[in-house]
Amino acid sequence: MDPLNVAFTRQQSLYQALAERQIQERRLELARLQEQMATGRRVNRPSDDPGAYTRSQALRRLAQRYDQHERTLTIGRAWLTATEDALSTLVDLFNSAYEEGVRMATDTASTADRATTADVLEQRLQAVLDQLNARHNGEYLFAGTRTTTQPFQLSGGTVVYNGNDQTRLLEIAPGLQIAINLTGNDVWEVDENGDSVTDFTITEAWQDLIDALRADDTTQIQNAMARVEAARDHLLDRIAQVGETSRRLSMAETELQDARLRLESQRSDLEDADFAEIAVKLQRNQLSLEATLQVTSRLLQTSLLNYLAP
Amino acid sequence: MSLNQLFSLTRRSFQTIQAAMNTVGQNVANANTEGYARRRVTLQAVNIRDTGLYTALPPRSATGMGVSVATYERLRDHLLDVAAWDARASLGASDEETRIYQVLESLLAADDDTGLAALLNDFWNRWSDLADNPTDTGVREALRGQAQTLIDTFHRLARDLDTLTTQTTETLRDAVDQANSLLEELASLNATIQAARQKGNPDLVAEDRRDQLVHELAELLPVQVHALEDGSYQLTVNGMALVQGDRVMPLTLDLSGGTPSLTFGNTGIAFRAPEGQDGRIGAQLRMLTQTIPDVRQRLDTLAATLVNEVNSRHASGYGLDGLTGRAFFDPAGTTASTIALSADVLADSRAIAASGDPTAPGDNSIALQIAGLRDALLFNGGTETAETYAINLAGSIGAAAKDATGRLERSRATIDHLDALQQGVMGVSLDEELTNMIRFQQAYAATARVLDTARSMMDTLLNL
Repeated sequence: MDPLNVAFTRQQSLYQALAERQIQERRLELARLQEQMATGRRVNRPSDDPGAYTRSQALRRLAQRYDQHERTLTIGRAWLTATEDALSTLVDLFNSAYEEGVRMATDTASTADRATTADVLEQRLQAVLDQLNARHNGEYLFAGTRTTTQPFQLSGGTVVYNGNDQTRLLEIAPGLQIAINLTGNDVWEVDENGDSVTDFTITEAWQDLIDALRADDTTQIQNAMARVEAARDHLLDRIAQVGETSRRLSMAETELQDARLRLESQRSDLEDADFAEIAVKLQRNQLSLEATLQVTSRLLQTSLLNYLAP
Repeated sequence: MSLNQLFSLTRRSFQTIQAAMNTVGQNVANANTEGYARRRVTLQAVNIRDTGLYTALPPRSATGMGVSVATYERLRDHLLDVAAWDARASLGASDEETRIYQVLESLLAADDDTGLAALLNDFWNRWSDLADNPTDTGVREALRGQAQTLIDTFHRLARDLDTLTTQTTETLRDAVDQANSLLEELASLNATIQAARQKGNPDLVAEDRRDQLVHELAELLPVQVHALEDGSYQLTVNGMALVQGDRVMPLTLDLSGGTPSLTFGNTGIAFRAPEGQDGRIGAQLRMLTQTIPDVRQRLDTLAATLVNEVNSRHASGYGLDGLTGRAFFDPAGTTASTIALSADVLADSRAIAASGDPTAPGDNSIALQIAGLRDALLFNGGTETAETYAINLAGSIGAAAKDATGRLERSRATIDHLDALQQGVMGVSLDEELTNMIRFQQAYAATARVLDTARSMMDTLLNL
C-alpha cells in the first residue's frame, strides 16, 4: 500500500511520519467500524454511500407514509364500525316495527291495540331519527360532508334531510381513495326496484305504518308492513355495503403490511450493517493496528546510535 | 618543499575536517527540523598553485597542500519541490472542501427524523390527518404545529448557512492575509538570497526558509515557482507574477459586495484556478460564491414552491368558519429564512381550509388535495417531489463530500509519496551522518598521526 518505501531506508523521520499516518488511518477505520456496529447501519450519512443514502431515505419516508395510511385505516374502520352500529340499531328498530305490524295485522287486534301500538311507534320514530343523526367523534355519520349540521329533522310531521350527497374520501394506500361514508340519502331513501328512483324513505315507511294502524285498516297495515320490510332490507343492504368497504380496508391493510415488509427488507439491504462482516473487519483492523504499532516501535529503536560506543 | 609545509598541510586538514564535522553536527541537530535541507560538504585537494605560495610550479612537483572545502551544498531536488508544491494546492483545496461539505452534510442530513425530508413527510401526513378528520380542531392544532416545526427547520438551515458563510469568509480573509504576508516575506528573502549569492556565499538558512514558506503558500494558492538564474524565485498564479525579485503584488479581497471577489493587486483581474486544484483560498472562494449559495438557492426554491403550491390550493378552500380565500403560509415569505405561517392561520387554526364546500365543513377535498401535493412532481422540471428534492439535496451534498474526501485522500497519498522522495534527497539520515562522523573522526586521528610524525621527524632533524 505504501509508496513511501522508495526513500524509506534513509530517513528515520519518515518512519515516524508514515507510522503516524498509518496508525491514524487504522484508528479512523476502527472508529468507522465501531459506528457501524453501534448504529447497526452501514450508511449513517449521505457521504457513506450517496446512492444507497438517497434510496434508503426514500424508502424510510415511504415507510413513514405507510404509517399514515395505517392511521387512516384505523380512522376509517372506526367510522365504519360506528356506521354499522347505527345501521344495525335501525335494522333492529325496523324489525321490531315489523313484528308489531305482524301482531296488529291479524284480525284479533283491536282498534285500541292498534292505536296504542301506533303511539309506541310514534315515539320510537324518535329513536329512528336518533340513529339517522348518529354521531362519531362529534361528526354526524349520515350528513354527507355537512357533518357538523344535524342531518335529519322532524318538521311539521315530515322528516327533512339537511345533509348533502357528498362522500368523504380517505386515502388508504398511495393513490387509493375510498369513500368512507354513507350519505343520509343513501340510508334514508329506498329504491325498491333498482331504477334509481326513490320510491319512499325509511321514515315514510315507518310513518305509513303508524298511519295505517291509526286508520285501523288491515290492508293498509299489510301494505305498510311491506314497506317497513323493504326499508329493513334496504338497511341490511347498506350494512352489507359497509361490510364491503370494511373488507376493502382489510385488503388494503394486508397489502400495506406486505409492502412494508418488502420495504423494510429493501431498506435493510441498502443500509444495514452486516455484523459478521464488521466483526471480521474489526478483528483484522485491530490486528493490523497492533502490528503497525509493534513494527513502528521496533524500527524507531534501530539506529546506529544504539551500537556506537559511548 | 620543506618539512614545515607538513605542518601547514595538517593544519589545513584539521580545519577542513572540522568544517565537515560541523556540517555533520548541523545535520544531526536538524534531523527533525521541518524544511531543513541536508547539507553536504564537498572536499577538494589543494595544490600548491592554489595556495598562492608560488607563482609557478616547481618542476615534477606532485605534492599538494592538503585538503579544503570545495562547496557547501544544500541537497534539494527542485523538480520534486515543484511537484510537491503543485500537489499542495489540491491538498489545500480538497481539505477545505471536505471540511465545508461535511458541515453542509451534517446540516442537511442531520438526523433521520429531524431532517428536511422527514419533516416534509410529517407535514403531508398532518394534512392527511386533517383529511381524515376535517372538523377536528385538535388535528388542526397538530397540523399547525408541524408546519411551524418545518418552518423552524427552514429558518435554522438558513441561519446555519449564514453562520457557515460568515465563518468561511473569516477564514478566507485570514488566508488571504496569511498569503500576502508570506508573499512579502518571500520577496524579502529573495533579496537576501540574491545578495548572498552575488557575494559568493549562499545563505543556506534563508534558502531553506524560503522553500518552507513556498511550501506553506502552496497550500493556500496554486502557485507556480520559477527558480531564476540569480537564485531568486518568481512566483506566479494564473500567469500573474505575485513575487518578482523583491517586488510583491498582493491579493486584494473585496468583501463589500454580496459575494467575495479576489483580484490580483489593483489590476482588477480576478483570481481563477481549476476546481479542486485552487488551494485553500480558491476552495473557500468557490464555496462562498458557488456551493453555499447553491444550497441556499435550492432551499429557497423548496420553500417558495411549498408556499405557492399549498397557498394556491388553500385559498380555494373554506375554513371551519366558512370563510375562504386565505393563505396557509404568509405569501410574503418565500425563502428559507422568511417562510412563515399566514396571520390568519396563526390566529386561529379554524382558518385552515380543509373543505372545498362552504356549506360542508365535513368536506375534506382541499385537505386531500394538499396532502396529495406530496406526490406532485413540482421540482427539477417535473421530475421530483418535494421530498425527493430534499433527499437529493442531502444526497448530492453527501456525494460532493465523498468526492472531496476521496480527493483529499488521493492528494495526501501523492504528497506522502512526494514528501518521501523529497525527504530522500533533503532529509537527514542519522545513520548516514553518524557514519560520516566516524569517517571524519578517523581522518582527524590520521591527520593527527601525520602531525605527530612530522613533529618527531622535526625532532630527529633538530637532534642531529
